[in-house]
Order: sequence, then structure tokens, then C-alpha cells
Amino acid sequence: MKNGHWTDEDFQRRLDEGKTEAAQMAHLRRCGSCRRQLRLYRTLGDLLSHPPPLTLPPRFAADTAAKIMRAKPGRGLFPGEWLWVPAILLFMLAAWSFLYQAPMLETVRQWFSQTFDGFQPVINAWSKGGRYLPWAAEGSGALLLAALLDRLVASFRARRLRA
Amino acid sequence: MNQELMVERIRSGDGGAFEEFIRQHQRLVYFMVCRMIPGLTDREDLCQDVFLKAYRNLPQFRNECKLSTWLARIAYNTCLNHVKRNSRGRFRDSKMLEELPDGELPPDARMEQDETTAGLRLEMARLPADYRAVLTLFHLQEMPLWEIAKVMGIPEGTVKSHLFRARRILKNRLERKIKEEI
Repeated sequence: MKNGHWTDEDFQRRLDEGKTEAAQMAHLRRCGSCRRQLRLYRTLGDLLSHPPPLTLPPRFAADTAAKIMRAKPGRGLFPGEWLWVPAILLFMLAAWSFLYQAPMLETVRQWFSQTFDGFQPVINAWSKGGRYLPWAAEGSGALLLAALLDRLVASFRARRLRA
Repeated sequence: MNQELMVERIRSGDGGAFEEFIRQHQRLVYFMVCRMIPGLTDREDLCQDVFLKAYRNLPQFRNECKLSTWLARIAYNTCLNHVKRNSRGRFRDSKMLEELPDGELPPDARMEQDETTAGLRLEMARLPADYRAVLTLFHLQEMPLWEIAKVMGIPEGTVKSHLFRARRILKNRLERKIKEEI
């Protein structure tokens, strides 16, 4: 209460919780201004709780469900998004084999082994153990392309539905 | 049908379960759209957009909250984006109703016979979108404050202060309107 009158907090607490202290109730019985304010808040509460008329068509749920299910928005050409996993694994394999075995990187390898003497045995072992795997690069490229195409189709389906 | 089962069936492509989900929640979405974007004519499209987003994001739903809370959050964000998009364009949403001539009130305001209710709708349209969302979720959906905070992604204290300020503004406008009529 402020200057003996109810505050907006008091009115709103009354509106939400229905709780009022005895002293406040005593004041309310005496004060016409506070009673008028409380009536206003009650009217406001009633109006706010009064739902707007629902103007959706009766078949809204059925039509929307059918439309969305038919369009399969977000779905691509393949089930799930499993393509990314092998694509990334193959890409890493291709990158590894390229870095250590590709003939064009010979100069880089030589510079690296001369600069960092301590790593020479490790580099030698890796170079001998592996070989350049072009099929890994091609495979990962193909899978990445397929995965991108999959997402493109999914995005197209979503746009078509919105349109 | 319980929530987990419904989500599972929709994920597996059950159209009937998805229809049931829409039927159960269409009022929630519709009220959010109505209250947050008062002058919108193609409400049906925006409601459909909300359900489309829900369908696409359902695989990410972890059953950690109520489905209605999760959907209300999608509806809130969709409406907010719509308001932002349009406020950058030719009109601001809060000005839309003011600019409409009397005969061009939105369908629900036109259907409303009660003048005070219609007047309050106009006043609500002038409130910030966040205030309108809080009022809708609290008074129409009867959500507790903590749940509204979750829907809107803001602290519970902010929800409380939005609710308090919004109602105080509306009460003052209602009072002024009544005085003017007298």
C-alpha cells in the first residue's frame, strides 16, 4: 500500500492469487477509488482470459497433416543423414594418404625432414607404410556430393510446401 | 495417447498421430498468432508454418519438457520473426490496427460484438510483442511463469515484470477509454 491506497502490485496480486491482507480489505471497504481500480483490473483480467474466436477451418488439422506428410519437408533422397559419416572418414583417409604419399609433396616432405630432424624416423615409417589412395578421394568426393544433393532436395521440398 | 508415444509415432511417419498432435495444439498456436500479430489476414498460413517447423524439428525433441511448451516456443519464435520481418518493411505490426479504417478490422475484432473487448484488442496491438506473448500465455493458456520463461527464453523475473507492466498499461488505457466515453 502507498499513501494508504492499494498499489498496482496489490491489485495484480489480488487478481492472480486472490490474496489480500485484512488491513487492505478494510481500506477497500472505505475507499471508492481503490474499489473502482480493482473493478478495472477484474474487467481487464476477464477480457484477457476471453479467447478470440477460432477462425481456423474445421479440417485444418487433417489438411495440414496431410500436406506436410505428403511433402516430406526436411527429408532428402536417402533415409537419415548417414552419408556424412563415411564421406568424412573417407575424406580424412584421402587427405592422410595424399599428405604422406602424393609425389608432388616430395619437396615438402624433404624440407620437413631436414628442418625437424627428430621426426625423420616417424615420417619414414609413415611414408613406407602407406601409399596414395586415389579411390578414397574419389569416394569421399562422391559421397559428399550425394549428401549435398540430399540436403538440396530436402530444402526444395520444404520451400515447395511453404509456397 | 501419451506424449512419448505420440512423438514416436509421428517420427515413424504416422499421419494420424500428427493430425492428432495438430488438433490438440491448434488453439495454442492460433491464439499465439492472433495475439502476437493482431492484423494478420493469413493466420492459417502462419499456423501451418509453425506446425511445419515442429514436424521438421521433432527428431531433435528430447521429451525433456512438455510438447506444448516446446511448440509454444516454436510459435513464439515464428511470430517474432514475422513481426521483425514486417517491421522492417512497409508497416510496423503495432501500427497496423491503428491504420485500418473502422470497416477493415481483422476478422476476430469484427466478429466481436463487445466494444470493450474489441477496444482492448486494439490497445493490446499497441503493446510490444513480448508483452503480448506473456499476456497470451498467462491468461489464455494459463501457463505458470516458469513455463512462460522457458517458452520465451528469458528469466522468470522478466516475465513477471512484463506481465505487470503490460497489465498496468492496459488498465490505464481502459480507464482512460471509460472516462472518454462518459
